Amino acid sequence: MSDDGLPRHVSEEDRSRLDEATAPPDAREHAELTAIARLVAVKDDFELSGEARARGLLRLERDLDQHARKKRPVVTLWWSLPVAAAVLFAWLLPMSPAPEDSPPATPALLEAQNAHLTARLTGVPDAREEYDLAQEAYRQQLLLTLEKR
Amino acid sequence: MRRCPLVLLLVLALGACSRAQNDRTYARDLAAAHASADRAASDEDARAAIRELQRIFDLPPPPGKEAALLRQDAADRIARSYLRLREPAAALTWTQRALAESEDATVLRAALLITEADALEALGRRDETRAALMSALETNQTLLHVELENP
Repeated sequence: MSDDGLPRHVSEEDRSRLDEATAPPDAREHAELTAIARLVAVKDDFELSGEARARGLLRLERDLDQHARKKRPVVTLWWSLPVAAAVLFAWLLPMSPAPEDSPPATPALLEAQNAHLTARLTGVPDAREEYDLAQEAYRQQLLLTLEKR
Repeated sequence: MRRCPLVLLLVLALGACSRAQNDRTYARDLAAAHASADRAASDEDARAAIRELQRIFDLPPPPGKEAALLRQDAADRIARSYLRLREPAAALTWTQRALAESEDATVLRAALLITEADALEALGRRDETRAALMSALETNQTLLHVELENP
C-alpha cells in the first residue's frame, strides 16, 4: 500500500496539536475522568427496588384508569333515563287540556263588560247584573283551572 | 353517583306535587273567601270576608296567569265589598293598589277600573269617574279586538 497521498512534512503547529491529543491527562483531567468512572460504577444504585417498582406500577394503573374514566361517554344509561323522561313529558304537554300559560277565554265577560261600559258612558239603562254574573262565572273558571293544574 | 339522576327525578316529582298542592290550597281558600263574601248578611260578616280576602291577597300567589288574574279579582271583590259598606275611600285605595301592581291589559284590569269609577263617583269626583270609565272601555276594546282576531 503506497503512502504517496500522505503529507511528507508535518508543520510545527500540527505537530504541537498532535502531541496535545496523545499526551497523558494532566491532574485536573484525571480527577474529572475518575469522578465519571465512579458514577458509572455505582449505576446499579439508581435502579428501582422491587417495592418501588410495584408502587410505580400501581400508580401507573391508577393514572390509566382515571384517563379511561375521563374518556367514558357522557351519556350513559343512567343519564339517558331522565333525558327520556323529559322528552316524554314534553311530548305529553301539548295534549294537556289547559296549557299553563293560557287562562280561560273571556268573550262572555268582555261582551258584558262592554255593554255595561257603553250603557254607563251613554246614559242608557245599565246592564250591571249581567256583567256581575259574567265576572262571577269567569272567577269560577279561573278557580277551577288553578285547582286542576 | 349512579343514583343521582333518580334522586333528581324524585326531587322534581316531589316539587311538582308540592306546587300542585299549593295551587289547590290557594284556589280553595280563595273560593271559600268569595263564598263568605257572597253569604255576608251583615256588615260584620262582610268585614270578616274582606279580612279573609285581604289575607289571601297578601300571600305570595302561585306562579301562572290564572293566579295573577284571581289576585286582581280578589282586590276588585274587596273594593266592591267596601263600596257596599259605604266606604268608597277604602274601595278606591284597593283598586288603585291592584292597578299599580300590573299594567297588563286584562279583563280584570278593566273590572278594577270600573270599580274605581264607582268609588270615585261615590266620592263625587265626576271627571275622574269618567276618565276611569274611558280607560276601562279602552282596555275592554283592546281585548275584544284581540278576541275577534284570535277567536
